[in-house]
Amino acid sequence: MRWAVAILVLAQAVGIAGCTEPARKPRAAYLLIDAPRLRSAQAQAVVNYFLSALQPGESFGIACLGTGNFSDRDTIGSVSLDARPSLATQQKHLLKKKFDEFTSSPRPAGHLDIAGALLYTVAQLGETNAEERYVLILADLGKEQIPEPVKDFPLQMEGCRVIPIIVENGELIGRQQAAALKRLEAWEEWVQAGGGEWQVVNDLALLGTIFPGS
Amino acid sequence: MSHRDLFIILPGSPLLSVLLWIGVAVAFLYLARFPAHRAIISFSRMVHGALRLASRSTLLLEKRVAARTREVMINAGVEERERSLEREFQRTAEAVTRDLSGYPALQRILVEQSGKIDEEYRNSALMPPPPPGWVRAVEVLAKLPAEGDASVVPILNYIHKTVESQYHTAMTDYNRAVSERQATLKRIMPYWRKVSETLDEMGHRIKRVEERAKAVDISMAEYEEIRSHPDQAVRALSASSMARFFTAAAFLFIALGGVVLNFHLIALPMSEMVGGGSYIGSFRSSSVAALVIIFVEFSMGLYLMEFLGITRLFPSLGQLDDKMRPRLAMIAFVILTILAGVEASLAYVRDQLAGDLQVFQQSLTPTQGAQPASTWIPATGQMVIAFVLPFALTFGAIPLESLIRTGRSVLGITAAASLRWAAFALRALGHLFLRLGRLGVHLYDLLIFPPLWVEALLRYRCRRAEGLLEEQAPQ
Repeated sequence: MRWAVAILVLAQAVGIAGCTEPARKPRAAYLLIDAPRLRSAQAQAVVNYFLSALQPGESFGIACLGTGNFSDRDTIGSVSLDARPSLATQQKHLLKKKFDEFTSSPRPAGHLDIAGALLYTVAQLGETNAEERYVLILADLGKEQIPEPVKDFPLQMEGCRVIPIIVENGELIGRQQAAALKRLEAWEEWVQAGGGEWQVVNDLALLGTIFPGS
Repeated sequence: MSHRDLFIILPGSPLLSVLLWIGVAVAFLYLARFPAHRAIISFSRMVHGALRLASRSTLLLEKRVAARTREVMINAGVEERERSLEREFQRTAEAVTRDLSGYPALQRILVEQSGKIDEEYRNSALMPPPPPGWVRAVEVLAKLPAEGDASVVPILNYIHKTVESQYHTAMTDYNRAVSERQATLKRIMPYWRKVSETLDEMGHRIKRVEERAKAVDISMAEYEEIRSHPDQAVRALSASSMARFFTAAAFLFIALGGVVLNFHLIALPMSEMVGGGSYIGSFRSSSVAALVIIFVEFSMGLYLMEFLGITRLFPSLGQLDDKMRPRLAMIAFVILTILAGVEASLAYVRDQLAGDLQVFQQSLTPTQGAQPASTWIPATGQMVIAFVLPFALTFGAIPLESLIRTGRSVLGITAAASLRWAAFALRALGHLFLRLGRLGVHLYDLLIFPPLWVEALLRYRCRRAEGLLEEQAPQ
């Protein structure tokens, strides 16, 4: 009799456990936005998406590109969300506020130090102990002004996925587009040489599949 | 030289080669006819025998399972009737204690009432005062002739008037006495009424005890019926078990829905306590904590039902002291109430978290969405549901017990039926193999019909030559 009760209760537990969400590896993401796009609708959309998709215990940071050599001063804000949902929501509020304040004034566009920014963000993400790490770049990596990566000095990017968000390349045509693609390929090779993954996103809706929310 | 060329006997004419091969094959088959027949028959009989043996074994197993199920059902039926009898005895004992414990008081009331009635009756028996003794003498005087002495007549008249006056006085006294007697008898009426009511109440109480006794008799008769006619009892119990099993399963399914709802109410706010980002195995810690809370509540509900004597899943709990059980039931109830309170609080936290999240989402997209008209209604609803659900789930112990008790019988019946069908299928398959063996023999002969035909023709001619047969063509 007691065995029957135990089996029934266990079956019930398994049944209910089946209704719960599957285990998710802890994640961390860093968003790099170049200065001219800080006030764009795309930047707002990407930031808003990540703030709503992040779960308690996960980490997120935002930094600005295009102000010369990348340094700590370019960090807009970063947060490791608390395990308690109520505190996590407050932290998200604060980060959003920081971002809005930062973008309220226009920033001068300058040299894009992509390699430096990647070096910094990879180090930052490494400190979070997250199993899934994402670096999102909202900048035109195909621009001629951006120097190509130095292949002899690859970055250690194991477990990192670099996601350039390119949604407005329609203006490039012919030779320009071919050159831009070539530069992108160079970046891809550089990231992969460092052990990272490379995934270009052309549609913001794809973020839902790459970094799913709750 | 290709693989196919190996089979070409006559180069250049493959058809003839094929025919030659067929002829060779038929000849070999004809030569191996009897051993082949025996092999086919032996194989089919072997398979048939094996399947028959398997069928018999399955039937034996089915009988054992059926016998065991029968024992289980009879034992379950007997146990159930014993429980029913026990409860009836308890109720009878309670009825006797409640109804007949007041019997001495009723008897005392009756004695008092009858004493008062007796006293009043005796009072009513007081006779009116008898007429004075001189009246008879006056009657004699009254009979004397009135036309006598003139000096006597006035005396007599005076005496007559005096007597009449006395008579009226006596009659008045008598009437008064009779009236008083009637009044006394009238005073007895309430005592009679009270006696009647007391007797009626006694009658009702005895009737209730009688009804309980009848219920005990019915349960006892059912108990004896199971003991004396187990076959009929098994049939009845079998149908009853099935019905109860499916009813209990349906109710448990509903209870499971309640558990899932409960889980979703407290899983999110649990992350405020144990953290939302940690995992135990492949499950969130908050989900596991919510499950633990729900199962502790369910366990408390089970214990409560056990201590109250409604279910009997754990015999050791049923054997506890009668004074101890209500105390333990109270403890279980208090724990259950505390947990229900915790759940209600968690439901409130859940509503708060959902509200915060909604506000945050609205801040991300300020042009969309609007504040809900009222937030206290869903919050209150969630709290009430979270508080009530643990108590409602307590009653899930009753169908759970029913499911477990009938589960063995239903499982046995289902297993026996499946084994019976399996035995039938094995037996049918065995017969099929036997028939297939005979069919195989006939098909074999069909393949080698030319030599068989020749053989039959030759045999016919031989017999004909020996004069054994009349003119008859071979078939």
